[in-house]
Amino acid sequence: MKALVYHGKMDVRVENVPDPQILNPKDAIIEITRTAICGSDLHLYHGLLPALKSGDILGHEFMGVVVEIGSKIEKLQKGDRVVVPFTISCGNCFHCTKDEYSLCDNTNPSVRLAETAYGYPTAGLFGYSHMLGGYAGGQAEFVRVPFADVGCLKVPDSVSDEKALFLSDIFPTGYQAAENANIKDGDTVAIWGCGPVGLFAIKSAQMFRPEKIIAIDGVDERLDLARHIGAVTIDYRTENPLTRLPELTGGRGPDACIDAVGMEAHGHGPGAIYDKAMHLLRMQTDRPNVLRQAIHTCRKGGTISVPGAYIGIIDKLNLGTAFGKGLTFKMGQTHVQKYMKPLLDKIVNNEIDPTFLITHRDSLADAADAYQRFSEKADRCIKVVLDPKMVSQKVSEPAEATAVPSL
Amino acid sequence: MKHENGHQPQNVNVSSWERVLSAGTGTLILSKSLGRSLPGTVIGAALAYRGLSGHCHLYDVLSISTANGEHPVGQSEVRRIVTIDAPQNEVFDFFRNRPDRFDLIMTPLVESEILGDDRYRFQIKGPFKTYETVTRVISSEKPLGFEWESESGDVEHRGSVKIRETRQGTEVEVEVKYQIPGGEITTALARLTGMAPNETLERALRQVKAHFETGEIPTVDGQPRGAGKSDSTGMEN
Repeated sequence: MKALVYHGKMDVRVENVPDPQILNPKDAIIEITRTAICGSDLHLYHGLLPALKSGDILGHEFMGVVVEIGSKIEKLQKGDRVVVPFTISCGNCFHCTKDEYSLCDNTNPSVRLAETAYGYPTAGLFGYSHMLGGYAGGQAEFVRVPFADVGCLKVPDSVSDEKALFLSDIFPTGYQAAENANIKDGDTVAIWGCGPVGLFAIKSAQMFRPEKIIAIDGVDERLDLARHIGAVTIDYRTENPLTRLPELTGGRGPDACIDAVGMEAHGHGPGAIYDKAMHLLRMQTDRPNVLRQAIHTCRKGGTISVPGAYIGIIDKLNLGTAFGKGLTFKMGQTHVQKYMKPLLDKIVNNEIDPTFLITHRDSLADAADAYQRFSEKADRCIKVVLDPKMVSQKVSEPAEATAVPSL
Repeated sequence: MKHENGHQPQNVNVSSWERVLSAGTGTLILSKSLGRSLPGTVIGAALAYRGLSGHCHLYDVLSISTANGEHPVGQSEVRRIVTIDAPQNEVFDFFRNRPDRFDLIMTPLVESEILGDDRYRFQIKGPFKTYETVTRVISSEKPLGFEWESESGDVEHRGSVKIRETRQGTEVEVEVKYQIPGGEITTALARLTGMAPNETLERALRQVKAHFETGEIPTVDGQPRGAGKSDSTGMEN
């Protein structure tokens, strides 16, 4: 089959690899019909995860059709159309039974690496380095899904592939971010990052009826789309969030702050430059500029929710400020299985159309170009969906159904 | 490992010849890396410090000492605990009655054979060679645990499995004391290659847990991967 393979920093290639096989009784093999490139794939693309190896197949947002099932699969049948969560969860352990699927005890075979990094292993993830299990990802024609009964969610005929696809990660991730932000009726929510997770965090936060959502980014088309779906925006290239956020909240600060950026924060000012330098020197693995701003601007007693991925060690974090202001932090990988069904219901009921942020549709064969475009934020790229069956084209066609009027 | 004789002056836990080697290599790396490579500088400085001070933090963490007189060379101890969501009796039976299952969960590192009379032959793959040992269960109390010791073979050892029922599940504590041929050097090599008893035991207990809680053992062995730059893995799984 064809699959997108990591070769090294900024070097991914679509190549032929062996087809996946059933390896365990609760596995299923899925023929992928749609797969996407996630913002967190760019952390891999930029070579930030040391436990990623040349030859690894990437991709953790995908859906498709069940073509083979293991001997202990009970809920799935060949031919079922399913969307697959990026978290691999056993469904039986202490954490899974508490809906903490991304903390599953039993799905990460790389015990030694995970224990060294985290103390205890967390759930295996598709295509996300050997610290998180080393599972082959789904930017491919086929994928092996372990514990497929727990993972796969059947998609009704009335919901198209593209509408269901983002249930695999970014919609539940944005939703969990909003839920973790403890938003009350009438609150103000600040969201750093208007990439796909930030945009879904905006959409999801709206479901908790805040008075105002303030979105912060430095890319025009993302700010355009954030405004289009109802957020007030701060362009950090021209406005300083540290002064602008108090101004927009009557001097109180946002009740909830969502860091939908994570370890690769850009931004301006001394903090950003310091982080960049430390990062280049490999003195820290993550750049926490957004986290610092969120801690500083959040109202006293507020909540900071972190859906953006952090992997390692950060420097100069203003923890004293967080302590002094009595902030609450909630963070972590998404417990995708917990949210998939209720969020699918919202799609079925037309409460949300998750395709609003798709800007590019490409063939899987052109995935390497798509990575580069997404990484460079070129061609107003916000979200790329890959179709393994689409014929390769050198230039991808702009999406038809985008909701951004300015595009 | 308990250092019953107490620490030597200034926490010396590195033997004399190793100190000379560390200091020499460290100085060399430091001179080559200074101002050029940050990791090289750090590693060089750390090795040089290790040689000059005779104290190794890694050894501390791993409870190793190669300094003379601290404890018998090569004697080690591993102890790991895991909580399994399964009844105490079933967990006991798994460990007590089916030691042959150990080769299932520790493949490809361990192969076992039942000899009768509570005696078992184990073949353990080490970094240099395969070690063989015959062990005998010396005490057992269902469902609380059992103890065993080596009767003959390459690896002199004794160990115990303790099984406790708690409100969070069944806790299994496995402790093994062993004298490995080749001493600390073999142990250090085994650690580097992921075959050290500590890591092997941890992985095995995790796999037993997965076996009980999910009916299978998670794996990525046999899944597709691209050619990449190199086929060498260097890391487990």
